[in-house]
Amino acid sequence: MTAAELTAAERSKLAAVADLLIPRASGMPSASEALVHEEFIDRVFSVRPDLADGVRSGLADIADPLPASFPELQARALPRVRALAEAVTAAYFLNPQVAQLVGYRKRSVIPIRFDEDLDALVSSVNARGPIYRPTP
Amino acid sequence: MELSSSHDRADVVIVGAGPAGAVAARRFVEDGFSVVCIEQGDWPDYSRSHVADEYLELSAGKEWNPQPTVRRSFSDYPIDTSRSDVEPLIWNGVGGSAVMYAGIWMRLMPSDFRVRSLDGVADDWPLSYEDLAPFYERIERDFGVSGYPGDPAFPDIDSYPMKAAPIGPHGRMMAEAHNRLGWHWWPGSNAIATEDYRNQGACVQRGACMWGCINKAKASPDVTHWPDLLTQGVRLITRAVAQEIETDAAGRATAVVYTGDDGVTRRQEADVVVVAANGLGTPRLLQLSTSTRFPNGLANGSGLVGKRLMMHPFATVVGVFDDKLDPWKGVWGQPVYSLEFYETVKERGFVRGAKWNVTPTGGPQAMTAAFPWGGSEIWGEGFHDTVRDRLGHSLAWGIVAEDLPEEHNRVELDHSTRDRAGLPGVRMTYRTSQNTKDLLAFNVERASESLREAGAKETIVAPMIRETGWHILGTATMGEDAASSVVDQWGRAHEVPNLIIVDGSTWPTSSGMNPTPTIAAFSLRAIEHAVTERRSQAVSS
Repeated sequence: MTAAELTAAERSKLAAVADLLIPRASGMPSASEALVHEEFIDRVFSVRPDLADGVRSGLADIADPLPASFPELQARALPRVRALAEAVTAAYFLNPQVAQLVGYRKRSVIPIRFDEDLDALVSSVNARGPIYRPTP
Repeated sequence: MELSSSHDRADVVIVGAGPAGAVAARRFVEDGFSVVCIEQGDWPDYSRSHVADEYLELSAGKEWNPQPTVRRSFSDYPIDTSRSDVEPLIWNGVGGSAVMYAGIWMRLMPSDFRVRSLDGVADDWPLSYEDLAPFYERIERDFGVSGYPGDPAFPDIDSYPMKAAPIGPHGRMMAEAHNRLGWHWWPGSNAIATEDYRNQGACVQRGACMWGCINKAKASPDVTHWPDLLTQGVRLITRAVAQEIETDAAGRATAVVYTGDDGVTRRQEADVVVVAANGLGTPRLLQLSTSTRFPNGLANGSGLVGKRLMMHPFATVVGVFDDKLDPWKGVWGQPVYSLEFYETVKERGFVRGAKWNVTPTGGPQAMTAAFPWGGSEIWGEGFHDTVRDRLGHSLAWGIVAEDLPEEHNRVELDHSTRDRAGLPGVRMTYRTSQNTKDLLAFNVERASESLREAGAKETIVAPMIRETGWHILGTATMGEDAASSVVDQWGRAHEVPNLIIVDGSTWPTSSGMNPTPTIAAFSLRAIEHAVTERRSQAVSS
């Protein structure tokens, strides 16, 4: 196990906490259903190993019993939860099924097609004349 | 200390391989000068870019993050920002911070050079828009700029090397809104190739300009300048930390002392020393270069080296729309811009103004970030609906505010920290003025109005954002009087005539524009003058 890998206990806790952050709703799977605590948090750490400590310490800050909802988690005012939440969110959107549901996975190549109507579009700007101040 | 041998002596040594340094190197080498450039960082490694895969937003948070305190690269020196309202964003390496800029390309307006004459504040520049205009044109060719000529906000932009990038549905929506309001807007000018151009490939509209443009459409000097400069014989020494500039008994610069990647300290002797290390690095190097003749730092007889720091405080207003816009499908930085509120209008209660540019809000991960969404946490029951509302349905006006010079805003050596070569870091002291705060507040209101006119169902204001200090200006100010400035209009240090400073530290006032075009044009003008002057000296001797 590398420093960027979570233990089984950490993964279990991450699944529970991640579902508070990203629950199943509005036709979208919950974080644990999207395997945030397994493959996808590992993929986050493969690119950002620096996030592992934040996730680990963010989880450690959340004492048992776990909050029952995100507002309850917020009420504990734990400063490192935001870093945990951002890592969970990144992992969630790496899941291809989630990406398909939100309509975004990665940036694609779009060849340039120039705008042909700019003259008409800027005509009213030009009609108002220069707006700079001449200087000595 | 290991001394450079005589055959290593150069005509010119340049510190910094960013836009200002690259432009200087090109102009000197074109005229047959031997040039050595000392650069503390390395080449950008585009093989580590994630712009074409699903890790883009993750990599933007670390390796391709412009904030040195986040990135923590070997080439970054310590910067204490605890006394600053704004975090500096820089990238130390070949290409300089242009490796991570958005490529937004704006000339200054004529009034930017005459703030004292027109508005009664700060100082006029010792050169005018007209002085710089021919150099802008040349620089725009060198940096492969695309744009739409004829903007009535400028006297004479008659052409660009390439046609403007598509403004996209989001740019078009804002253009039409401004047409209804009777407000200025214009198709964006960007240092982004819209066709294959010299070393640049045509943009493929990934909207990822700032995080490692792998097809090299964005003009940064590691693409536009350095490959050719190396072929032309410029010697580029990377991973080398400049320690000090040495001077002789007559007060002329003689060499740059630097520590190489092998840990060995060397002297690079030259007839001319050019400093292009940005608004932090340049005053730092001058402050490090003390001697009996210059006890307070090199070229610091005025006491202004490091002072008058200007940072361009930046605000953002986001609009959320019902329409699907997918604004990341295009150039990132500037599909359109507006200069409607750029010039001073006395009745507003502040002087000067701001430039706006439309910018995308990003992919799904960015929809949950503190910036620009105001910092409220969206997780829990409403998470999916909020992401669905924002993703592809939002854009922002980025607002660049002019910041006026104040001597208490400054850069100093920080002897409590050390870089990898054992040199002191820097401490920034920067507090935003009331004029700048008032200016930003006014522009934020107008930008919200603009977005509502375009149909935004919600607007969200990030009134002043700490992590946006892209533009670090003013810390070796230019002027005619040696008692109140560091360099003259040619970038020559008043006290050290063969020391030329060509970066944004020379700016007497900040304008409200993205500064790279003016930094590059100023560097070209300064070096052209130096070349001409040395040629005439050679003839007369």
